[in-house]
Amino acid sequence: MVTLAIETEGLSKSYGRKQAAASVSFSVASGTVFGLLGPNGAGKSTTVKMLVGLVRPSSGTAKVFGRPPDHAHARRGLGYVPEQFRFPEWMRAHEFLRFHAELAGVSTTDRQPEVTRVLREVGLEHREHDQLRTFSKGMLQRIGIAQAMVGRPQLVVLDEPTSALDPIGRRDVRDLIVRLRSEGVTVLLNSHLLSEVETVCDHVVIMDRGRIVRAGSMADVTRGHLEVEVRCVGLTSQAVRALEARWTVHRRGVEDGSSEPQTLTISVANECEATDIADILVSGGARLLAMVPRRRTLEDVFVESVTTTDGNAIVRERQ
Amino acid sequence: MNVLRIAALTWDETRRARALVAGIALTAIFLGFFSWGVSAAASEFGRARPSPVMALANQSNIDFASIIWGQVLSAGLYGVAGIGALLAIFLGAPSIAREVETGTLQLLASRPIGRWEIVTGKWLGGCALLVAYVGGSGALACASVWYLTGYAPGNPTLVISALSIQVVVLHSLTIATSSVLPTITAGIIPVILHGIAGFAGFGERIGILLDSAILKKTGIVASLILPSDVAWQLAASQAQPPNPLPALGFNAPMGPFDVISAPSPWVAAYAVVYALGGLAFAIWRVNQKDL
Repeated sequence: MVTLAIETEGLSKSYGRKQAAASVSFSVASGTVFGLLGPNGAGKSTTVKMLVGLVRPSSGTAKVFGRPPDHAHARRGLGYVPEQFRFPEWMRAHEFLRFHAELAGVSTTDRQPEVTRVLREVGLEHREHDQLRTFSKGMLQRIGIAQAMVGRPQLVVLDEPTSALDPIGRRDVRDLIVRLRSEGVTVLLNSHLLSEVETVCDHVVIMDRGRIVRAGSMADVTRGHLEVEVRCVGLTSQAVRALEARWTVHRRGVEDGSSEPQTLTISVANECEATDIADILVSGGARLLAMVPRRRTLEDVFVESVTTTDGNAIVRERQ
Repeated sequence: MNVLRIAALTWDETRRARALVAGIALTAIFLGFFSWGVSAAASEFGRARPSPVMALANQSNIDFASIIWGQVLSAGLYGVAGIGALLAIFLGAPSIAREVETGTLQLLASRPIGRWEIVTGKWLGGCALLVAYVGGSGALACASVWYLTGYAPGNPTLVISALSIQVVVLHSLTIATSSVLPTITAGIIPVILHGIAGFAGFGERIGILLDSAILKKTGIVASLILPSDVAWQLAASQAQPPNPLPALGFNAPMGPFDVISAPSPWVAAYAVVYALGGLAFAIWRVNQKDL
């Protein structure tokens, strides 16, 4: 039987007339990495805050390891990195971590080894005695992740943990997440970096305007999104109609019988269907220049999901 | 236990932010000036020719020197109370509001620790600092006056306790406003209320002189709204010798720092309840808050 680290049922939060989260229901199995995606203002951070007991839901329920998040016992097994917070820069790295180890209930004798361990995990063991005010933004983000790991929590909630990190730092955090999963730790990752989520997450929820618009395992979410990109000349409208009779065809300015190269993108169920496409095109008089099967990325799914519900969402995001 | 951890963090932060060092250094300068002034006054007093007032006092067997040095000590304590009041507000205003604004409170509250422990710890840490401040500097002012003039208040512990009540009341009020309002507003409100309470206190004293019921009531109402000035009056009344003038038929103060009529000890009890009420309100508000 799968143990659930997180379980939400109809979780909603309203601020006056604005609904930040609406009927959010999902569950996260223990020992998995779960991605929470969505454009700005989608309700991700509100959902995360409800899960760590910082925000009270207007309706619905949330459980962390079977207990309400505001229950001290639920938070004993929780490590959290908020999206934005100011570090007590007057503290030294080891003092900051030691303080959080105390709050997390780490025994006096285990505190120093625990501080050393988490500093090593984030690659900052050489800065143990330095004041946080001397740390770069990326180093502070690493220290934030280190504080979430003190006391070996069973659930680590990371809200945009790599936004200030360079590519190497991001890779380190990805490796760290994978390592945590291998140790049986559940990770909830709220990130804008879709490639990062795609690389490490087992399950994903995409939110838009406070609602879940897509959810499932990473394989489920991207399954059925295989495409074949076809480049050809001499394409006729008759051939295109024959293709459209079987598949969904995305065409950009196709001209009947044009001698200029034209591109079609066709959604298929499996790669073998590419030969059928080639037959139809060739028998229709077209000459094939290229045929490239490609699986749609999480980014494609994300863009499709949020533009479907709000045409302006992605424009907003990219601005 | 977590309350003490948060209280220790508040101490540490104040110490490491050099606020404590700055406060001690500036207070040392203030007490230095004060002691120099007392010393100069003591030598002048010894050489001065008896004035008509002194002669009248001597005829009436009144210890005129005690009255003068009681006023001088009250002047020093007035400075200590004033600085203490400002520190109480400056320490309290950001204690919750800024922590919420910067996300620091969110990080603490995600730990297995009650929000009441965070608020109580911050309150306790702030109160401990302020009581140490007014206790230390008030005791030094008393010691300085005693050493240079030989005058000591009847019960210095009561003086220090009353000064401590004043800063605790102000700190508690500020923590309560800090749990609701942004940092600057959370600080402005107690400053204004404390100013009004002080002003109403003067009004009350004038009311006693003029026997004006309205002015006396103004002071009482202001004391109920914020018992900070009345706590100061309690400290001042304990710092001075009993006023001998009413016994001679003059319902007049001994000097600018005389409170004429010493506040009832119930005032201290009310002030303590008021401070605990401020803390309780802050705990309730932070418990309700979405962080």
